[in-house]
Amino acid sequence: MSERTVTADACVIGTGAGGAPVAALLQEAGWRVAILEEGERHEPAAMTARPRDMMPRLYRDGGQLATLGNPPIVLPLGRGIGGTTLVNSGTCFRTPPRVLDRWRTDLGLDLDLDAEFALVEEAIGVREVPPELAGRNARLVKEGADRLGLSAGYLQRNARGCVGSGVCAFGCPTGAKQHAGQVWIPRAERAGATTLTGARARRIVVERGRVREVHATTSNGGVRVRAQTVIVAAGALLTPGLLRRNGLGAASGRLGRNLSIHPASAARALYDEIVDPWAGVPQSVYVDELAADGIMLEGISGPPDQAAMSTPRAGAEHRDLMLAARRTGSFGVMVSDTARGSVRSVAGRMVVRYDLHPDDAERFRRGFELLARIFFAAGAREVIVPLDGVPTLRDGNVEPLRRCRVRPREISAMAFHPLGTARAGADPATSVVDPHLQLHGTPGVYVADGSVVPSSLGVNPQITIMALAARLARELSA
Amino acid sequence: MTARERRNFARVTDAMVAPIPPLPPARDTDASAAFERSLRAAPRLNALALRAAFVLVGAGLRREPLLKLVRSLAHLHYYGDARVMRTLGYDADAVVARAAEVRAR
Repeated sequence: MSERTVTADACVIGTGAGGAPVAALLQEAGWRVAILEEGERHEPAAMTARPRDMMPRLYRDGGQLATLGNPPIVLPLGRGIGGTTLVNSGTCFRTPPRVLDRWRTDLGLDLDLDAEFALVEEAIGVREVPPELAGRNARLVKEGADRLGLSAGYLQRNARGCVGSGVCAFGCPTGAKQHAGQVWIPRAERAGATTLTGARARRIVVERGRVREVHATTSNGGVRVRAQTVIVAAGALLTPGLLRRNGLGAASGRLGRNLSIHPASAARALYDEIVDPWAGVPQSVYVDELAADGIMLEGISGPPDQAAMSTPRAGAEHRDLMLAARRTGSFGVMVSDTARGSVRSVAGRMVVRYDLHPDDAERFRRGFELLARIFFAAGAREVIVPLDGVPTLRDGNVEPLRRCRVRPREISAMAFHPLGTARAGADPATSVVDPHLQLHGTPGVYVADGSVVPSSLGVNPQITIMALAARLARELSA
Repeated sequence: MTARERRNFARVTDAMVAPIPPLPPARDTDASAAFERSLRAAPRLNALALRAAFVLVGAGLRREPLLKLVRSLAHLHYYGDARVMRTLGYDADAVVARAAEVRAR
């Protein structure tokens, strides 16, 4: 066992949507940056296009992290260079203006991110999904929405040279997805940054009010990074625990609280035609007709094992749906949540508490009702929604869905966008970091990940997180 | 898992999947081996709870939250078998081969 010492201007903890860009941009601005990443590197050539087999390799806790609450909600997080961007769908949205307005009014956060949006979108190759790559599953939903006169379109994604392998969430085998580990970390390293993988940050040493160094454990000992600036970017579920263990960020009582998760669920549609839901970009189309009410419809689909796990029904009924997998489409409903949860450590393990709010359950019902109408308009013969007690819908009849009252425990959901657990704000009494993302009261310690995002965005957050990180890098290097 | 647990896993999985031709029974797939890999990736407490969940369902317990969990895991691990996926029309090897060609270009 040995301990290595690295001296840097900045130590960045984490390589996801926040840590990777801030590391690259600081190093390119002339700083010496050391990057700590708990996971490992995952190269495209090692991806197998088999979700079941990739989950234990790419996901934290093998993809089995779930909330405690009503209902339990699976919260998949990536683990490795790139963080959760390694396993996200690649969807890119700028922070909605209405959200930025609310932050300005409620929290004193006056953020003009236009330059940063442009910078990160250029860096990660954001462009609209061409229809021919979208896959029949998504195109059918677009056609159905168009027939009903709904607002819908092809999503913006960060990909270069994508051929529609259909497994974005399980490791892109072509290397087309421009995730943080594919773009920002190589940029940081080309500019001279040091990346230490398999390194878990444990201690952030603060002496006489200034940060001095970070200690991390590795498989063969440890590493000590001496730096006057520490940027914590371990993600909204891990950052609070790291700060709390080091007696940092807890003064307002908000650390680990205010958790929003952007819950999501998916419905299925049985068509007469071959859909092959695993062909094409899984998340390529959106319907934002109800976005003002916090309801977004976005594509979700994949190989049979992924579909099987989330297809409602049991026994022979489930099997018959699976035998018809080539004719079965699927699409997701995402809800901008009003409930707030928390994350804390119990006996060294992360515990996430979250109860879905009844208003959010009603949003799911409304989202599924709209989605069922779209499926039928696209020619679906049957529609199956993952709400207990709602029968299979047939002949275009969505009445059972319109009439039902959905309680939170009747929803099968997952969540992909944890945010808000070290939220930014001008008032130290109600926020953990200031508008420049520095911990209130601790000079030199910054947070740059989803935990600083103060509220649910209603859209996928990677562009918001990257833009905030880019802004931090610009301010630090000015 | 013990040999007994593996047999129980296959039995519970068959009950959840209800395979009929062309779908093979669980014992003819790699579902059990894949489940063991998932257990190894899980935190120790989770792994113990998941093993216990299959034992309890195998013993006849039918409480809905438990059943939902076991059903979802049985489906994931059964339908992730390469032969089963090919039977349903998905060829992961072809996806990987095409990706290798793209990377080589």
